[in-house]
Amino acid sequence: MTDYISLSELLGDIRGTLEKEYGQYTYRVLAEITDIKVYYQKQYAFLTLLEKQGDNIVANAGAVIWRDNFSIIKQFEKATGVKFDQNLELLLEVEIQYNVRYGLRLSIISIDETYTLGKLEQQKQNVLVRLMADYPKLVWMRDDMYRSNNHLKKLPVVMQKIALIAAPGSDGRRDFMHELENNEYNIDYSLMEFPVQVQGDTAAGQIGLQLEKINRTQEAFDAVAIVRGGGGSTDFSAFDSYRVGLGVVQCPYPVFTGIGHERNVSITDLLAFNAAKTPTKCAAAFTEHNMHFLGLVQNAQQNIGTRAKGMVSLFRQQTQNTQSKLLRSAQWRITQEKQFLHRVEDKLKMALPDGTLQRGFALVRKNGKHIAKSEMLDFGDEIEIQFTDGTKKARIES
Amino acid sequence: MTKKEEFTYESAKKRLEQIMANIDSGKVGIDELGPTLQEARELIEKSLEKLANAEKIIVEWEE
Repeated sequence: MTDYISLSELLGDIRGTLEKEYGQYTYRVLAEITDIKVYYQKQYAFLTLLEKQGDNIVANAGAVIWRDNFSIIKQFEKATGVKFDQNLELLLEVEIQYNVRYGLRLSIISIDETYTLGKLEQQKQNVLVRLMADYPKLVWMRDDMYRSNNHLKKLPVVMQKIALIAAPGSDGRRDFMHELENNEYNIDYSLMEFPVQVQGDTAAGQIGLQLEKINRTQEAFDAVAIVRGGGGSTDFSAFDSYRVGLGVVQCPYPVFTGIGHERNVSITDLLAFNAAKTPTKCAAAFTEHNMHFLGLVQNAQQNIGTRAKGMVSLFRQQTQNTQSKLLRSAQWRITQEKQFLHRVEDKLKMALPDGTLQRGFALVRKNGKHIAKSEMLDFGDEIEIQFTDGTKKARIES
Repeated sequence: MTKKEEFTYESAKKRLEQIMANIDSGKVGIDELGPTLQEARELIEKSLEKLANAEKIIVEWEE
């Protein structure tokens, strides 16, 4: 018997022992992932699992996600909104595998989403608590709900001038613009764009800077829209950041979001005036708001029409009444005046001498002139005496 | 040259009232009576014409 064995025999024994002791079970392991290499076409991924104490690595193991379990990466990203990426602490379910050629590997079977979501939620709570402590007048809690001063912004009657924070060329920006430009009520919107990256390490800083820029600009906006959509369904961390949350609550305009995550409500959503699930719905919220004003205008138009008709009818009636009164008054007046003229005529007829002569009186004339008094005649004067039927001449004798 | 005074119903009425008052008070002598009566008759005719025109407008309006 030789005093050695082959390496493969030794490792084969180790593999047998490991399979016997550990091969029947799966283990839930908390570890940080690093050195990730994902082969999307072949559908497997290699990575390293670490445990740290401070900055020191105290445990390290290679790990693999085989084709059978490859879909857990997408499932995890979709459920949590977190990209499967370096330095992420995950709760993993693993099997122990040992290959005589490649050594020990932990095969990852599943990723505990609830652990990550819980951790994210805890981080989010920490940010919100910090914001409340630092800016109690801008962020507070009421009835177990986070409230911000942005919730209390008074919306203009019509919102048309909008500051848009979005990634240039992104599907989210395109969807938002399409909804605004094709609104069925033909409402015109004026947009000023503030481009940002919405993913990655610099996203929070860029969004925060653009919010500050909007605050500083001389332009007056009706609202600010922050949208994100399309591309990967992961990495919403910027929208849970202290920087962006502070930017929202310090914004002088109502903030509307369309960040596009179905399960996760970000800090930005919580503190914004209005949170929609998608950029399209975010844009639609503006049109929906403006519809109220259009409704008011249409109602006013109808009311004015109805009232105007009523007023015209009233004026017509009043005019007709006035006309009738006027005609009656005029007719009465004419009758009165006619009576007056007839009276004048009668009186003038009475003044004519014909009637008087018929009653036996006579007119005396001297040289063609009427003689009204006896003193106007002297002895010997010749006079004419007019009777009703003719004239006689006479001489004054006494 | 003086501008011809335009006939108005109100001025005619006033003149007729004056004529009647003069006759009543005996201020109009027999010699003046004829011309006065002629003036009054013309005023009455013109006044009646004015009233007839007004009545015509009323009838047209009512129609």
